[in-house]
Order: sequence, then structure tokens, then C-alpha cells
Amino acid sequence: MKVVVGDVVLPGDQCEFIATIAEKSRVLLGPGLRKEVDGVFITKAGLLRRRAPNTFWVDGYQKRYIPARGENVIGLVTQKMGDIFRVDIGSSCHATLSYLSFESATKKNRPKVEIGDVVYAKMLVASKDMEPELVCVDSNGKKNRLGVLEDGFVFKCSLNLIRKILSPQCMLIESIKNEWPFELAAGMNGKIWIKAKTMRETVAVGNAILASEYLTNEEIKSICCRMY
Amino acid sequence: MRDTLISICEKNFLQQLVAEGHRLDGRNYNESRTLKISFGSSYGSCIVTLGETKVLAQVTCEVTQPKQVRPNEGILFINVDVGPMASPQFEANRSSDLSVYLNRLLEKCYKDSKCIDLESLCIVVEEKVWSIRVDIRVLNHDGNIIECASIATLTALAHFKRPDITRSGDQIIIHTIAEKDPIPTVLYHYPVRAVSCCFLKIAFMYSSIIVSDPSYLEESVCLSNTEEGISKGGGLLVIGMNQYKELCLLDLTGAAIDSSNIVHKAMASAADKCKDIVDLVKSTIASDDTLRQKREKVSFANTITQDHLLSLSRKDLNIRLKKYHVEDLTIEEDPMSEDDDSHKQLRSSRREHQNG
Repeated sequence: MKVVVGDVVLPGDQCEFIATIAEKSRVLLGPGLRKEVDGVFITKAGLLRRRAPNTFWVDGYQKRYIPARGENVIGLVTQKMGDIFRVDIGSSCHATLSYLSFESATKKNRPKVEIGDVVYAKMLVASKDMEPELVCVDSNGKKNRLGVLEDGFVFKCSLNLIRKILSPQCMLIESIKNEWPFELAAGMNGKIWIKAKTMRETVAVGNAILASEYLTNEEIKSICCRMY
Repeated sequence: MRDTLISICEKNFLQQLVAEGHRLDGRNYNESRTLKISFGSSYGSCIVTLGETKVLAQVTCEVTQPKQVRPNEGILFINVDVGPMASPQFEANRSSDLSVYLNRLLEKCYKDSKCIDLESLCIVVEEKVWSIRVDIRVLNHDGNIIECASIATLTALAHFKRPDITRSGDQIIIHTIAEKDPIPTVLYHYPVRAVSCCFLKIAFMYSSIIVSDPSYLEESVCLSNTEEGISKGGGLLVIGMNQYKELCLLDLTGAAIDSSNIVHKAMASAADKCKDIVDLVKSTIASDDTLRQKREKVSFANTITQDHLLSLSRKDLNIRLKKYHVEDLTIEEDPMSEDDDSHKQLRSSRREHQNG
């Protein structure tokens, strides 16, 4: 079936127009699109989107995380195996995290990570045939906010909500920030870690985030104002 | 079954929150989630929803030879199936500890408490009896499957009607529903597992708190073990009672109880709750019967499509402030309604977009 940008697309649909654009200029294919020998095909149900100049992706409601390189995720350490930790990030298989990929970690100086700890890490390797690999340092060997998250509370949400609250247009974080001070780590795998001064505030912030999934900016502002 | 692991921070947070007198979804300690019962097109099939936990029960019957020990009694068989549909940690076609445990509890509650008149299921002594089979399938696991499954079993059994038979000499004729009205199963009493409550042991308070109708997180925090396999967090206390406030079942897993007060307290709250649940089951069956007599179509399809529009928007709100504090009450109600409205608008605008 022929599709255009903004259409509801289904797996198996062919995008002829992307192939024709690709003959003239560079095209970036995002999630939900795949290049085969005889054209570009849709692999996911959703809305076909485009961002100038030529970036295409399929946007749909999703809860299952598919690892992508360079994204920050929140994972749960489930196993210690020699020199690696196994981390559950909600994808189809567990990710690995080497104990050397922490700030100032050496063979002698092991980082303090226990089974059951929650880590905020960056996706280093994410290919479809290999186990994903995480790191807790940036390219300069600095911690840069990554690492083990202590206290607070973790909850799951849809991947769309994470993208929504992280987008610069979204007023949610700005609005709650004015009411209550809190710490937040949003993993692209649909997990959010929050920590506020008291338990009640933590739950309230979590609730505000979950409730904002289908709200517009004005509505978000009005809930945040009424939180007091 | 893959082990489910709960992060340390979630565990600590939940324990502290309960110690402070709150729960994650804003309920009181002995408050249950909303219970919904819907019936399928055939007799004896129902879906019971408790919060987000969903269980499907189907009762079927067939004619078999009775057991040699009890030649004049019918057979009741209960089968529980917990598949990967309920929660990804369960494996397909393999009985996990949970499904065996559930099966045993249901059998204890319904078979051993003799709530069904098995003698009425006899057709010919030593030759033919009705064998009733209850299939329970867990569709979604959000804690407290035990209570949900037991309500489903009870509702399905009470709703079920077996075909009528006539005996003429040696011949037995089984009539179809069109020929003769089917016969309902005789239930002496309605046992229901009303309170399956967790108790969390809060270390620094040296006391236990009873929390009824635990959610998935609460249940797993209670049953979580330390690395040595000793459970310190708490345990699960299951109490089964019938509508006359008679005890049918008492079961404890996890840590030991250190004072008898907990059991007494739990029983007191179970007694009231059982009555409410049994009343609800009876009234829904009665209203379903009148619907069927009016020849209106009853099926699962109606119930699913009815709340389809809002089903996505609310599912993830597992953290709630509702009734959390009096001053929050006004806040919570408004955004929820706005939430629904905006969702509807979104849908309708999308539909217009597609049509256009």
C-alpha cells in the first residue's frame, strides 16, 4: 500500500516516496522503518512522521523498550557475574554493565553495586543481534549524573510519556519544579526515578507525571498550580 | 518461572510509606480495589476484575464414571492456569509454584468445605455422574490473584447450569438447553476468599501492619526473601469465609506471625467483606438472569467495548493520590476528568483527521 507522511501505517507497508527522496539526498530512518533490497518497509504500526530535512520514523503507543545507542536508561541489577553486572532494562534480553565502567573504578577499587540496586546508565552497544551493553561514565571518564540511584522511588510508564516529559516543549517539569523541589531521572526505557523531600511529595510528583500523559501544556500548568 | 526482583529503593519506599499510614494507590489499609463481574454468552463463564487483576473462569460438565470410593457423588475438578499473558515472568505450559498453590487453595476452599452438593450430580450410582470442571485463567496479574480467582470460581459455579436429563429404564437422555431448562448447581454456602492480606513487618516499629487486597508491588515486597532464603519482609495471610461468617480456609505464607491479634483483626475485617462480595455475586447473577430471560445478548464483547475509550488512559495510573489527604481530594478529581475528556477529544480529532 502507498503511504504518505501523517498516515496510519501498518507493518509491511512500502514507502516508495522515501526511496525516491533517497536517490537525491541523505535520508535518516528511525524506529519502525527498515531498508530492504527492494525498498523501504514499515515494521511497526503507528503514524508515519517526518522531520526536516529527511528524517522519518513511525510513532506509536509503546511500552516495550527496544535498545538504541546513546540513550539513557534506568535498569535494575539482577545478577553479579564475575566482572559484569546483569541489568534488567525492560527489553527482550538483559543488558550487561561492566564493573570497570564506573567513575574511578579499577580492578582493585570495585564500585559498590548490590543486587537490587537501580542504576542510571547510558546505552553503549545496542545492536539487534547482540546483548546491549551499558556504561555509567561519559567519554571523559566522568560520572556525569550516571550511576547508582539511591532511595527514592521507581515506577514504569509508557515510552511515549518519557519522550513527552523530556521534550523541550513540555512544561511539566518546569511547572512541578516551582511547587516542590525534587530529583528526577527519566530512562528512555519507560522507567522514572523520583525523589522528593517527603514520601507524600514523591508520590504526588509521580502521580502528576503519570496523569500528564494525555494533557496539554495549559492543563498541566493548571494541575501543577492546584497541587498546593 | 523466572524470579521477579524488586529494587531495594522500591522496597524501602513502600515499607516506609505503609509505616507512615499511606498506600501507593491512595487506599486505606483495609480498602479493596473495585470489583467488577461480567458474564460470557454461555452459562458458567465469567471475567472478574479486581483493580487491574483480571481472571477468566469457565465451568464445563461431562458425564463420567464416579470414583470407586464415592460411587454416588459427582466430581469437582479445579484447574488454574497462569500463563505469560498474566505477567511476563510466567512461562507457558508449565505449572509454576504459584499455579499449584492457587489450585490447592481453591480446592481447599471449594472442595473440602463441601459447598457443592456433589450427590445431586449423580445420575446412576456406580455408573454415571456429572463431572464439573472449573478452568481458571489469569489474564492479568496485578496482585491478589488469590481473591480474584476465588470470586471468579464462586461466580462461575453459581452461574453455571447443567443440562437436564430424563431416565427411562436403562436409557438416559440428556436434553439440550432448547428442549428443557437447564438445572443450576446447588451451593450450600458461598465460600469466598475475602481477605488475602499482606502484613508488612516494619523493622523499626517492631509491629506488623495488615494491608488487605495487596497490589502487585505490595505482594512482592511481602513475599520477597533475603539472599539466604529467609523472608523477613512479611507474609501473606489468606482467609476464606462464607456468607454466614464461617471460616472455610486459613493459610499463611512467608514470615511467621508474632501475635495472634493480627489474625483476629484480619478475620474481623474478612467477615464483613465476605458478606459484601457474596451479596454482589448474587445480585449480579440475578440481574444477568433477568437479562437472559428478556433474550438480550450477553457476552464479553459488550463489556470490553464499553470502556474501550478510556482503557488506555487510566491503566498506568498505578500511583494515585486519591483520598491520600483531604486537601488533595479536589486536585485529584479534576485532572482525572480532564484526562478523560482530553483523551476523547484526541480520539475524535484523530478520527476526523483520518476521515478527512
